[in-house]
Amino acid sequence: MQRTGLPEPISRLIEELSKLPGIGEKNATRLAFHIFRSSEGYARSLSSAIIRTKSDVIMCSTCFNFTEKDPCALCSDPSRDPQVLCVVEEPLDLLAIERSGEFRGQYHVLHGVISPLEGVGPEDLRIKELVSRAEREDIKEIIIATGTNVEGEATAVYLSRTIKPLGIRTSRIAYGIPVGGDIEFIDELTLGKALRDRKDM
Amino acid sequence: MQLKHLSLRNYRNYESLSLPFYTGLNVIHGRNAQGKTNLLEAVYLVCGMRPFSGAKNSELVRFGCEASLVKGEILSANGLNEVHITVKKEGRHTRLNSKTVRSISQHFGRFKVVLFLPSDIEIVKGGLQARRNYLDSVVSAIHPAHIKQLRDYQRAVSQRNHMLGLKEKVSLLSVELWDEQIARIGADIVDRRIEMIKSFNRKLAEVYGEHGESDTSARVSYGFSFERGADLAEAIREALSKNFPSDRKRGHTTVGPHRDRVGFLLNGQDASRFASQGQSKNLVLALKASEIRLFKEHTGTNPILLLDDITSELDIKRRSFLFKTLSEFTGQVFVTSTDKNEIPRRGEFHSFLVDSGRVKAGA
Ligand SMILES: Nc1ncnc2c1ncn2[C@@H]1O[C@H](COP(=O)(O)OP(=O)(O)O)[C@@H](O)[C@H]1O
Ligand SMILES: [Mg+2]
Ligand SMILES: [Zn+2]
Repeated sequence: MQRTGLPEPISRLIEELSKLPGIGEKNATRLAFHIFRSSEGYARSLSSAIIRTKSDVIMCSTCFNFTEKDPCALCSDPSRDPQVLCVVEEPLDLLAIERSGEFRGQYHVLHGVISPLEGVGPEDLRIKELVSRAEREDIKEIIIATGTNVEGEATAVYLSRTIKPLGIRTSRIAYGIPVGGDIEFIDELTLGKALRDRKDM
Repeated sequence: MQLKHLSLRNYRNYESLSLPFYTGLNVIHGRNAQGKTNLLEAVYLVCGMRPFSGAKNSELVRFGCEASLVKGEILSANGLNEVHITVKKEGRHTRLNSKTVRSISQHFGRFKVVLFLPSDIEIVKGGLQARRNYLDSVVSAIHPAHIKQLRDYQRAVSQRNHMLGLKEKVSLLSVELWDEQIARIGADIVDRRIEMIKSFNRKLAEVYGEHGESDTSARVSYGFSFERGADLAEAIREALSKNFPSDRKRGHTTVGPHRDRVGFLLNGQDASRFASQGQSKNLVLALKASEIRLFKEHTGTNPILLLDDITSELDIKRRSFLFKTLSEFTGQVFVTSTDKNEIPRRGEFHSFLVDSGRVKAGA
C-alpha cells in the first residue's frame, strides 16, 4: 500500500508488522514508529532476534519440540521420567504444562490435530514417530493432552486406538473446573464432565 | 426479566432513539414500514445478543452509516445489566457490563426472549429441518451448552462427510474417529431433545386443557433415524458403522441426530399433513405458550415476550386464545400492531407510536 508522506522503509515495516496475528494497521503504525524512534542498537537486536528464531531453532528429533540443540533440554534431562510420555498438539501446550510443574515425564509434540476439512491426516502429524518411540523405548504410560474440541478429541481417539495395541497404558487428561472459579459461572458442559470424572477422596 | 431502557444510534431506520420500557404490556404501533419490526428486532438483539436468524450485520446498520450502536439496560435476578453492542458490516462487538463477550453461546439464554413472528405459523407445516431447529432453539434457551454441542456435532459430521467424499481408499479408523465424536456429542443432543419433548408434552396438555380443548391431544414426537438402544451413543456408533458403505456411496452421513424427525401430532395424526390452517395456528400458539411456561419452570423467571404483528394472522377465536395467554403472563411483553385498539387493555399498558424512525411514548 502507498502511504503518502511516509518513507518507504517505515511503510514496509508497517506492512510486515500488520501481517502478524492480532495486529491491525493502527497498531502496526504505532509499533513501527516506536522502532523508528528507538536506538539503532535496539533495532539491530530486534531484527537479529527475529532472524535467529529461524536460523538457530530446530526441531528436536525425539520429541519434536522446538530447540536450539538436538536432543532438546527436556529430552536430555536425566531427572525426568522417560517411561511416561505426554502428547500435546503444539509447543505452546508443552509450555503450559511445564508451567504447572506437575509433570515430570517426557513430551511428544504432534504439531497439529487431525482435521480432514483442513487436509490434515494422521500422516501429517508426528504420530508415526510417536509409535516408533513407543516401540523402541521402554514406555509405561502415554498421557494424551490434545485439546477438548472435536478435532482434539478425534485425535485422542486415533492415538489411543493406535497405541493401546502396543500394550501401553493410555490416559486422557481430565476436564477440570478452574481453581478459584465460582461453580455458578462454569459452563454446564465443563461442569458436567468434571462431575462425571469425579474421584474419591 | 425486564428491558428497562433501550438506546439506538444508526440502527435500521432509526437515527437516534432513547426509550424507557415498562413491566407489563408495551404496545408498539403505527402504519406499515415505519420501523415497528425494526424496534422489536433491536429488543431481541440486545437481550439475545444475536439478531433475528437470517439478518446480516450489514442490514442492521442504517443506510449510509458505518456502525450501529444498540444499548440496553436489562433487569434480571442478579440486578441491572448493561448490554452494549456495536454493529459493523464486518462484525459485532458485544459488551456485558463493560466486559467484552467472547462467546455469545455462553450468554445465550441469560436474558431469554420468546419470539413470535408471523412466519412462525410455518413451524407446524414447514419442513423437517425447521421443526428440528425449532426444538433445538427451545432446548438451547434453557441449556446454553446445547448450542455449542450442535456446532461441534455439525463440525464432526462435516469432517466425516469429507472423509466419505474422498476418492482414494480411506481406512476404517480414520472414519471411526468422527463416528466416535458424532456418537458422543449426538447422544447428549438427543438426550436433551427427548427430555424437552417430555416437558413440552406436559405443558401442551395443560394449555389445551385450559383453553377448553382437552379433547384434543397435541404432542411433539421424535423419530429416530437410527435403531434406538439403551445406550444412545452406542446405538449411534453402530448405525454409523452399519451405514458406512452406503454413506460412502452417497458421500454424506445419512443417520444421526441431524436426520432425526421432530413432528407434531394432533390426535395422533401428523399435523404437518393433516392439520387444518386453524388447527395448526392453535398448535403454534399452544407451543409458544408452552415455551414460556417451560422457561419459567426451568429457570424460575419469566422470559421477555416479543410478538410481531401476530394478530394479522389470527381470526377472532384465536386472538382471544392469544390474549388470554397474554393476560395470564406476568412478565414483560412487546407487541407490534398497526392498530393499538386491537390489543385489549388489561393491567399495565404502555403505547409507543412509531412514525418513520421516530417514536412517541404514550401516544
Ligand atoms: N439498514 C436500514 N437503514 C435504513 N432504513 C432501513 C434499514 N433497514 C430497513 N429500513 C427501513 O425500515 C422500514 C421497515 O421497517 P419495519 O420495522 O419493517 O416496518 P414496520 O413498521 O412495518 O414493522 C423500511 O422503510 C425500510 O426501508
Ligand atoms: Mg413489521
Ligand atoms: Zn526433545
